[in-house]
Amino acid sequence: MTVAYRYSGAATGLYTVRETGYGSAVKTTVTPLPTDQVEADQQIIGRVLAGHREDFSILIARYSDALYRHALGMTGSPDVAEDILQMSFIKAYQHLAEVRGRFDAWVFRIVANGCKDWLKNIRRTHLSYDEDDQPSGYATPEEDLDRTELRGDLDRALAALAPSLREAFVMKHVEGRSYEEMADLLGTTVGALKMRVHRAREALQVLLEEKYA
Amino acid sequence: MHDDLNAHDGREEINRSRAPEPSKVGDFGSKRTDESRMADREVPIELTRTPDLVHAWLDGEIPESSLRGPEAARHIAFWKHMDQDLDTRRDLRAPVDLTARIMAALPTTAPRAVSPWWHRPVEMNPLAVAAAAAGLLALGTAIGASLKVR
Repeated sequence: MTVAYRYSGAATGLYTVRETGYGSAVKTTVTPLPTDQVEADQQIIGRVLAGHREDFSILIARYSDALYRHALGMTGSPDVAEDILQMSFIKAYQHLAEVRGRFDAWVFRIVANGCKDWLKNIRRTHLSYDEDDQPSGYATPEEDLDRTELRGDLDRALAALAPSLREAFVMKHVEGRSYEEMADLLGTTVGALKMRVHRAREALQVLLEEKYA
Repeated sequence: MHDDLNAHDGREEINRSRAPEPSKVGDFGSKRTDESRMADREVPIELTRTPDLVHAWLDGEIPESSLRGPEAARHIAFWKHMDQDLDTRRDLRAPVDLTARIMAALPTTAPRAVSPWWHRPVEMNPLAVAAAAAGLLALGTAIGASLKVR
C-alpha cells in the first residue's frame, strides 16, 4: 500500500470530504499524499542517516500536527501529548535506520504505543491529573461558555471509553481517517474498526445524550 | 518497534462495554466474571443500539436526506451538536515550538545505520576456528557413539 495521507491542518473550512462520500457529521482533515512526498520522506531519512541531523526537523514539522491530535485525543492532556510526541520522535530518530516503508505509518505506531503505555500506567497507578491539564486548557478565549462545557463533557465521555474504542473514535472523527487507512495503521480489519467506532459512538451517545439531545 | 497494537482486535473492549445479558444477571458465577471485568474498565456503559443507517450517515456513506423519522432526527441533532466540538479538535495544531524542543532533545550523534545480521562480516581468529572445529568433531563423535550403543 503506497497511499499516504497528509493533514491539511489548516483553518476552518478547508476540510475535505471523502471523494465517494456524502457530507455528514464526519469530516476529514486528511488528503492523499502524493507519491513523491513519500519518496521525499525516504530522501530526508537518507540525509539524516548520512549525518545531516537538522533535516530531521522537516519530518517532525510534517507530521507533528496529526500526531499531536492523536496523542491529545487519546490522553486528554496537552502536556502529556507533547511529552509523548517528544519521546516518540527521539525514539524514531534513534531507530531511523530501521524504517521500512512509510515513515508516517511507522512513527504513528510509535506514538500510538506511547499513548497506550501512558493509559496503562494511569490505570495501574490510579493517577489522576489536574483538571487544569485537561484539553479545555487549549480553548480559545473567544469560544463561548457552552462550547467549553461541551468540550469538557466530551473529554470526560471519551476518557470513559476503553482505549481501543477511544482510539478508533479519535482516528475516525478527529483525525478524519478512512477505515482503510485506520486498518493499515493499526494492522487490523476494517470490520473490526467499524465495530469499535460504532460501539464508541453508542457509548458516547448514552453518556451525553441526556444533556445534549 | 512494530508492536501489535490490537492483540484482542477490539473484541475484549466491546464485550466489556456491553451490558450483562438479562439471563445471566443474578447468576453467581456470571456475577463473579462481571466483577473481574469491572475491575479494569473505565465506566460501565449500557449501550443502546444506534440504527445502521445513522452509522452509515456518520461514515459519509449515505446523505442526511436518507434518514427519516423522529428517531433519526434525534441522532442527527445529537451528532451535529457533538460536531461543533469535534470541528475545533480537527483544527488543533502542535505547539509552534515543539519541533525546536524535540530537535534540542535529540542525541547529538547521527543514528547508526544497521544491517541485518546475515549481512554483517564474521571475524574469527585461527585459534577460534580450530576450537570450533574441534568442538563440532567431539559433538559428532559423541552423537555417533550414542547411536552405536543403541
